[in-house]
Amino acid sequence: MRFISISLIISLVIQPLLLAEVEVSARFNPPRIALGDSSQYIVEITERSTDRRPEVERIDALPIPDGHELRLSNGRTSSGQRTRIINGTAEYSVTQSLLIDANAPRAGTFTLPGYTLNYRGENLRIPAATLEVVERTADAGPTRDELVFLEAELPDQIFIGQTISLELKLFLEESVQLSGLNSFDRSANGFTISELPDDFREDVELANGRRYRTLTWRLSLTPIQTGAQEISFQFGLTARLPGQNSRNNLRQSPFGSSLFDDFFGRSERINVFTEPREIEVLPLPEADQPQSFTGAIGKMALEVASDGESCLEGEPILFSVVLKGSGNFERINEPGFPETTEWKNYSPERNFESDDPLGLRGELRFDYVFIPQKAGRLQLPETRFSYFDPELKEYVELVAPPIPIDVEAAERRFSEPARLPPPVAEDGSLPLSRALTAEEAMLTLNYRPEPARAPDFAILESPFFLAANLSAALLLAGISNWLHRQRRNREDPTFRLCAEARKQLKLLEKDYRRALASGNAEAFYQHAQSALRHKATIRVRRSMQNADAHEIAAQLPDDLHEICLTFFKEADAHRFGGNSKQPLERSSGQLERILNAL
Amino acid sequence: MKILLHLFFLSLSAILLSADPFQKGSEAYHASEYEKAQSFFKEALRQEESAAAHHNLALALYQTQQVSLAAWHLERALLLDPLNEEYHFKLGALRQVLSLPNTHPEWYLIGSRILSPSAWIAWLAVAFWLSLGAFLLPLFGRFGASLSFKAMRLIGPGILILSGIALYLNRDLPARGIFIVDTPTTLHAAPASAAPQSGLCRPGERGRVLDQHGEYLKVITEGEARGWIRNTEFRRIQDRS
Repeated sequence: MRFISISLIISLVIQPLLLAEVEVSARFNPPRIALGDSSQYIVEITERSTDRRPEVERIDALPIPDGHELRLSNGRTSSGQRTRIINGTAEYSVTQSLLIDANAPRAGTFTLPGYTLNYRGENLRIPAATLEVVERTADAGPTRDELVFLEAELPDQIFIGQTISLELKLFLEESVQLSGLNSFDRSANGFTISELPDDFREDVELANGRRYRTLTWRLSLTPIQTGAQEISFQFGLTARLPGQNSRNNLRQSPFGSSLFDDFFGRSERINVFTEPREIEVLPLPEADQPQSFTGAIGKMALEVASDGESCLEGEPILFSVVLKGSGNFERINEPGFPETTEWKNYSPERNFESDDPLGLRGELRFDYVFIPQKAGRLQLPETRFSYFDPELKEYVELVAPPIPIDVEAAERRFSEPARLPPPVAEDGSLPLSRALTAEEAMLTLNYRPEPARAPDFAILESPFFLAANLSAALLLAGISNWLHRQRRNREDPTFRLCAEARKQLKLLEKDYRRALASGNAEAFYQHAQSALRHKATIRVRRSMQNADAHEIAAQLPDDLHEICLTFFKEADAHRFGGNSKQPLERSSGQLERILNAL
Repeated sequence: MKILLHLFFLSLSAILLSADPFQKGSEAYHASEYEKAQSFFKEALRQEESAAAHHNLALALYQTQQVSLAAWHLERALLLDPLNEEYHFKLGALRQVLSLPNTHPEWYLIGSRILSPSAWIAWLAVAFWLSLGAFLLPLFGRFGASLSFKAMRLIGPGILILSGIALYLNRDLPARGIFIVDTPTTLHAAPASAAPQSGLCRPGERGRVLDQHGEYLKVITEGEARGWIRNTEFRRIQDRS
């Protein structure tokens, strides 16, 4: 029991301490008004901290219970922050205010009951607030709605895609002093509306028996959805209203005008708005819609021009289509031109010169580039442009005639297909053939396939090609060499002697080897001596056919000198004496050494 | 019996004719079955390459809006049959459709393509050896040049110069190609898709390969733009398939 009591005491003490960081209040400002005036229902949530500046969690809606008779509208939020330093200790506070305009339908006391708001995961209790509304006296001053209000001139019907201008007029009773415009907003999902311009028109008007200063802005409005579409506008402004202090000061009458009201007035943030208004957006009629219609709505005139009357084949020419008048120029698409065999055209460049800040009046120009595809007297195509007239509620089609252009043949011109006889014979007889158009010629097949040669350098990798070139080189070298030798033979006796000696030497070498093999010593020595003499002829480049052993030995090194003499002596002995002292194999060895040395 | 034989050969030739993919491609083209015509013409090219098959395939591709590929096949057809004025006209028209300059090749360029590079090389080699022989043999043999040698001394160098010029004009043939892209495509400053843009190539535009790195080719376009592009977006004229 004691434990439960302690826990209860602790929780009762700690919880307020925890919740003390977030304070909530609700009130009407002013809490007492005359019938016809409006008050503001204000809920303030203040967070405090000594550690750091609290971050506000934005509240988008208040769960105000139903069952009250007040008309609540135009909810908005604002926030403020404050830092206090007391004895060196900082305290941060942030206040989020939720403001809703409240109007009462009758005199009486109206109470908005308390309710719970979920904030940062905790339930905050919003206290109840009471508004007292008293009957309006005969000498009471004007209500705030009578002092400041907003009007928009809107049509009842409009066509989809049509762009109109509208005037937004802010009425300020002459005793109201406007300090500044804070915000502009519009609620119009089915429309596109231009931004609020900086410029406005200022006038003075009388309305409901009062004199007002009016500020007028012009905006453009374009519906983008058909059907009934709702639209409203709202200004947030700061103004000094007469008698503001009296509303909070119960010592003075809040309902009667006072001489000092204007002097004691203070600036107030006010939201003024137009009541939501429905506009019927009509669809464009589908019947009788011309093919050339590209979305233009208004009243327009058409002009076309080219930048020359002649050009070269393939040379670009500028063709301009100009639309003048009023309408939805931003939504007009360029007139299309089909590509022909005579002209090739490109997407145009768009240029709009406005006579009006909203762009509803002016001159829209499309500059096309046309390129002639052939020479001759050509015509830039006929231009058709349609718009929808919202006043007549019907389509209007404008037609500009073709423009003749003389096109001269260019030097580097578009290649033509194979020429055929002209379609009409000069003598007027029945044409039996006709020339193909460029399109026809372009798309005609070839019916005779012929084997093609390979367009490559593959021959460089062909072994046959390499072998053929090598053979050609060898053949040329061989013929050249043969011709060279033939010429030397003809012109040089020494060359001829040596060549003959070489030829004979080859034959004699075969002969003495054959004789050696057969053991015929006589033939061996005869052929060997002749071979030595021919070899010596080649060496000394003169004939040695009659040289003796000493002459040949003189051509040899010293160590072979004696061998040469011995060989010849042996040969002579055998040839002339019929005998020899040394075997034939030894003489053969001596012969080889002598021949090699020569 | 003779009638039967005639009938047999007639039917055989009809079967052979109907089996010809080129013929089938032409028939499909006239039936406006362009996809089918493309398949037949491709088959005809696989069997035997011909300028006509390339040309017809180009028209079938043009009909299915594959214009850059059509331009490649027309370029290839002109490489195989450079004197065909009809092909020149159609390529020019196609290039105008692609907003490319329609320039007819100069006469000497067409002349250089009358023979294939291999044929020019063969002529160059023959002319070289003939010229060499015509000058060297009388020199080595030290005899007066006969009329035939004098004719060889004139004709050989003439062919040598002619084929040399033709090969010079065709020197970049292996590097030449067409950009096979559907829309103007970015050329990169380096062989990577994340590299900054260095230029643009247009569909069907002619180009020349300057370098190669991996899957990228460094190219220069007709408009003198240089940069790297994926090798799938550029097709050399010399590539048969």
